[in-house]
Amino acid sequence: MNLKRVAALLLSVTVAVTALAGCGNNSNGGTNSAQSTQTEETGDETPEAVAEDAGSEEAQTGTEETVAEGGTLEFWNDKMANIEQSSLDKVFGTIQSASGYTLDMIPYPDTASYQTAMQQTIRDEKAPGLFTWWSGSQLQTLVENGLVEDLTSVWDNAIYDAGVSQGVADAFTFDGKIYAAPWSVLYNVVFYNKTVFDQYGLKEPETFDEFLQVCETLKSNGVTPIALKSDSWAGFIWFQALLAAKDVELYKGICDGSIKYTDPRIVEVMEVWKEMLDKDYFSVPIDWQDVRPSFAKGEVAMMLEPHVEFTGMKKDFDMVEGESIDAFALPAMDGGKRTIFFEAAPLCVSTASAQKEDALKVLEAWYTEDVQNMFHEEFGYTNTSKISVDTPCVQKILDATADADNYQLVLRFYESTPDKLRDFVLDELMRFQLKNATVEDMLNTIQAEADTVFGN
Amino acid sequence: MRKSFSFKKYKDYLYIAPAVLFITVFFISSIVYAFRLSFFEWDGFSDMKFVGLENYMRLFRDKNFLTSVMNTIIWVASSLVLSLAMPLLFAILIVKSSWSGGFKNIFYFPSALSGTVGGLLMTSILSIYGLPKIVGMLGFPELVRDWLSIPYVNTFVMIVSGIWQGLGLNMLLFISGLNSLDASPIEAAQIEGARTFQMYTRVVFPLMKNTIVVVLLMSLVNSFKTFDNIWIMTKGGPYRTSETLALTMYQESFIRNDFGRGAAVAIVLTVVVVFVSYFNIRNSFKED
Amino acid sequence: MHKTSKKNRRIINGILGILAVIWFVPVIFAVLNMFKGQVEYNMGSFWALPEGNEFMANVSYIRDNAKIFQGMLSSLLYSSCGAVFAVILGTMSAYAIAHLKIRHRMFWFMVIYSGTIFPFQIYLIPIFSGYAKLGLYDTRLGMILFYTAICIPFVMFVLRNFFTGISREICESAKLDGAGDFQILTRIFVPMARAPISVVLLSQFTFCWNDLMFGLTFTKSKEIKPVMASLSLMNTGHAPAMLTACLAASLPTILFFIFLNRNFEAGFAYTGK
Repeated sequence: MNLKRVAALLLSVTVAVTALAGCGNNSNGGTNSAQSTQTEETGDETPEAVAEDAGSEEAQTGTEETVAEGGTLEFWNDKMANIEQSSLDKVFGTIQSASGYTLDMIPYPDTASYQTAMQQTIRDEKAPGLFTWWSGSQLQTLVENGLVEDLTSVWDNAIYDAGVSQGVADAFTFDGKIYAAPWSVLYNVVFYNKTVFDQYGLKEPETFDEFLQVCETLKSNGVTPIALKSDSWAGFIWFQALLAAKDVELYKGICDGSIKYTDPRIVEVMEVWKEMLDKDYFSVPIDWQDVRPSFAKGEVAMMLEPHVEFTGMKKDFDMVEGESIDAFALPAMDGGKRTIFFEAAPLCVSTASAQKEDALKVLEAWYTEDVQNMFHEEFGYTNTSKISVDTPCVQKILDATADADNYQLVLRFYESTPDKLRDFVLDELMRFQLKNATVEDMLNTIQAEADTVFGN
Repeated sequence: MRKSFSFKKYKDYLYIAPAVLFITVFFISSIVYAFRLSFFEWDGFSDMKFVGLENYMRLFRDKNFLTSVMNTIIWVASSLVLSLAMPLLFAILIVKSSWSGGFKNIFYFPSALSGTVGGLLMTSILSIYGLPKIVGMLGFPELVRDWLSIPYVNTFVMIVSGIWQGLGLNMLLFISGLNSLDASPIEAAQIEGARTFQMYTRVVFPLMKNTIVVVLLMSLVNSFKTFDNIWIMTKGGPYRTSETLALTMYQESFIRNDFGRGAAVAIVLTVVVVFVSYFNIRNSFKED
Repeated sequence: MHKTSKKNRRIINGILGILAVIWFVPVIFAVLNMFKGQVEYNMGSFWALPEGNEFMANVSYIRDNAKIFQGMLSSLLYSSCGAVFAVILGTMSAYAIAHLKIRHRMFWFMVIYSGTIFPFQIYLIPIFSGYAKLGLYDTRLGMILFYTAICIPFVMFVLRNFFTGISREICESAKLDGAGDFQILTRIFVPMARAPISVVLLSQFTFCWNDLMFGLTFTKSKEIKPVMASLSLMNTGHAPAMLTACLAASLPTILFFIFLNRNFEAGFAYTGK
């Protein structure tokens, strides 16, 4: 029978495949996999060689190379967007030389998978030694349940010295203890397409009025001044920027509930924003996939994004820092200190993991110059101040973050506001930016929800 | 003696036993777990807290949930047309065309690709520089924008773009159904001079009832659970206007870490689907 | 099928021809862009012809950044075993529900069918926790068992409907010839159901092959991860390489479709034997 033949063929292919892939490996289940990947990772110094014989990875050529004395550390990572495996290999290579540990990274590109796997293993000794997480309330949940290690001593021994700012430590601090180290620290700045700016004789604005002037000039020349992105979480980007440009205390008050969303000063800022929206200074919120080419092609002149976009726009669009792309911090409305919002992705060590001690050792090596230089080179991260940055544009931003007289670093809205309220606010802000709600509607709706969350 | 007697009596059950075992162990246990979870407040890591019906009460007061219900209804209703009528029409045309093998291959091809590939292709094609740009060049410049970020419109854009990948399997089922039809009633009808349309409504469709029921039910169930397409294209946004129940469930559970509430959405969804399926299936068992 | 006049046939050919072109546009788009470089794709028009041939560069990019080959071997194992086991178990249960003497058929039908009703995301946590306890987490066996389970309902559903269409007289006469229930299933029902069985085999193989969520959740080591999980790790900023990798990863499902192609049109007429 034909069908039987099909089934037989499928099964025999299967048997062949199993034999090829070395089925003996899986008989011991999950416990064995840590060891079996260990041999595989040793080939890291020669990524080309590994790639060449991808088909026979079991017959690894690198097995005779000695495994570094530290051994292998499992590292779960969900922050993989726009990161290339070859870049990771380089970064992990420097970590290995600095710490003696080979990192076995398990990537989780999907939130549900990651949540499930973490939830089910974090209390077990098989929990990953090191893992990335989300800051704010999600980190707090882990802390409250005693699932992550207090890393204060790692900060004292290694991280502060490498030049990570206190603000980052504060973002990970609960009850006076620091529970995470930074995987990445990103500063939100206004990127501009320098070619477009040059074409219309525009310079980086020094004051907020100049900023509005720049928008007006661009608009009158048929260029959309600022791109908005449509991701459902992205509604707060200009909200926080404009609030802080008015007065950073307003922003802080909103976050901790001491100032109402319906406060006249908030209304005033929102009216400024509304006017900018009405003058079409902003694009309609569009997909991130469209924002970048629009910006690169000069159809949109500015976007407010984390500073690593210098690297992203270079890799994907060949935009050269200082020539076709540059960035500035949004000027304050009263000419005072400018605010730079930052976000920090946490690296945590799980308390239950059998590899806890190993993870702590690796973390101390994580913030050495070589490792962080590689992070910068490959991903554009600038987590510590002791890295060599060869581009003046990025250096300018780093200088600004260290210049406390003229700039202030503030944790962004997403992590600063209670998460129960946050998602509600984000939806309302997006509705407003799509021009489906008035200032009054939006603020009243949000305040009604804020009342229940803050319990007034 | 007695043993063999009872074995004979239950022998027929051995045919369904493995399947029932698999389903019970994997899926029925999961829904029982979700049902229990829906009465608790749980963030995934802390202790569970019993809250009774609170999760359900909160759902029905939530306007996002109602939007999500509405969107689900839209997806389900349109699936009747797009997953049932269109594949059937395609199948009929293909069977009657002179190059049925080739056409079948072309229309099935997208279904062999993964949802990730399809999603990637569709988002590229729907991005401003894809289809909207072409529409703009054809003289509709006001349509050059990101269609997927227009609230309420995006649902329809996604439904239509889903046809490309969603058509193949149902079409194959219909083609194999059409090909296995008993020819004699059709010939008889033809001799009596039935017109094409009547021929289909009176003779062919009734003969294909079994296949139609299968496709109808599978499409209904799948459209109730629509997730992948939306997740890839809009993630339910902007401001949760394109969420369906499956997305709401995912959002509440895994993004907002409110697993109890997510489970409550799953239970509501399940009850509705069981209800709808039950009546369809009952009919097909009645005539047995 | 009844005869179609020449004129009608020509109209039908025309309509399908136009639709086929539309259907093929995204594929052309994909193939076109496989030859572009990353910056060229991002900066240029989607619809423009590639300026040079970056295909080999994209292939070597994939080789450096996504280990999809190992994933494809794993997926081949899971999808073929999952689909074949599910077809066997599904066929048996469909046969029992349609033709054997069991009580409460509809109840049993609903039990098996329920596997498709629940939203898939609710399976993640309970199955993960069960797998972790039983040592099935991150094993090939665990993946095969799961894919078998998730494919059963569809197989059972399609075949049960097909089997109820087969008249009881055929069974009765076979019984008189001394055939047992099992022989009736393998000698009469399965050969008659060649077309639907091919369709479900294909669709379930494709489903398992293309599954991302479960493969990602129930595995962690490189040698166990299925292909879609490896693919999902690629940098989406490099669209041409991504498209190339995606199409490469889809080749097996396309080949399997072509391989089964002949069976889809098999109907009763072929089963006279």
